[in-house]
Amino acid sequence: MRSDQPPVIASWLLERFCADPGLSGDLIEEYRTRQSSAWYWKQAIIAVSVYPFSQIVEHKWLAARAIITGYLIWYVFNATILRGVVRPRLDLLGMDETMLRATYFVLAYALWLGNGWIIAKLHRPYSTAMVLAYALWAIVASVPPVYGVVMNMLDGSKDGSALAWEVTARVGTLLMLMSGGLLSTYRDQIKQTRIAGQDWRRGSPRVAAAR
Amino acid sequence: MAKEYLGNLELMVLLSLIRVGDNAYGVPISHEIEQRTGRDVALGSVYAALDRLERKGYVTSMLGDPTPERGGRAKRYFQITAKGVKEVRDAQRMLTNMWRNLSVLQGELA
Repeated sequence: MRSDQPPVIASWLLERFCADPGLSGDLIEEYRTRQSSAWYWKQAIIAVSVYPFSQIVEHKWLAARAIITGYLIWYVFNATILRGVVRPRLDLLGMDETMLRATYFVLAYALWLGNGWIIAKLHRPYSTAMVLAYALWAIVASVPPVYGVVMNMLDGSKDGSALAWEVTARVGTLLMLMSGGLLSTYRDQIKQTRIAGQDWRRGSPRVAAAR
Repeated sequence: MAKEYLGNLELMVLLSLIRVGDNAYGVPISHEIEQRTGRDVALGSVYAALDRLERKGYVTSMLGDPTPERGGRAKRYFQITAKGVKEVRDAQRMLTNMWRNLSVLQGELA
């Protein structure tokens, strides 16, 4: 027998990437009345791929603001504070190279997590789409350095591990950025659900009429 | 600012919105399009079109109350504005003019 609950992962993706209660509610309603899990998955994948990109295109200036905001945060904290202030102090502690690198990367990843969080907070209600806009820009900005490593690898000055390291580090930063954005929207959604839940329990005239 | 013309899906969504009337939300709008055109439309695409139309000022939306059948999610009700109705009329006029006196199509119909 088919479950009354739609596929959990598909619902999670929808909630995170298409923060529109109307859309997710419509899909649940359709799933419960006449559709299959495969249909729900298909709809979720289409919505996740169409909806945030459509919001980026529709709100170009907001997307530009998100990119500038993200870049400024990165520049101030990474290029100046992390590299200019924190890194020299870490060097003075006399840690071994691996430990030093690990500490530095934990701090850098925390920065990317925070960056995603701040971009999402400043660009509500299009938080996820705007974090995605910055992530797309970060991917484009990653091309020259990755290309440089590939060229170094081809001329023999660096080996394959350098490329693997470069790509892994950059994928990691993107994941942290998106996680920061998703955490921020998740927190907002919990707040909204609580408020909506309280109203719903009290019962509004429209709900009472529907019953 | 340059005039933004309606896309194919946007026009279909607006026409469905007029047909459904009150209580128009994603599900009846997509059903209307499917029944009238025989085409499957993804709800995500319908919502993306509705968002664009709202930004252009052709529709307005409001959230209803959360209901248990929808997992506690609210319905988002849409309504066409006077500007939206005017845009649909303009699109109809424009397309009718394009259709008129097309010998190739008339030959096909004969």
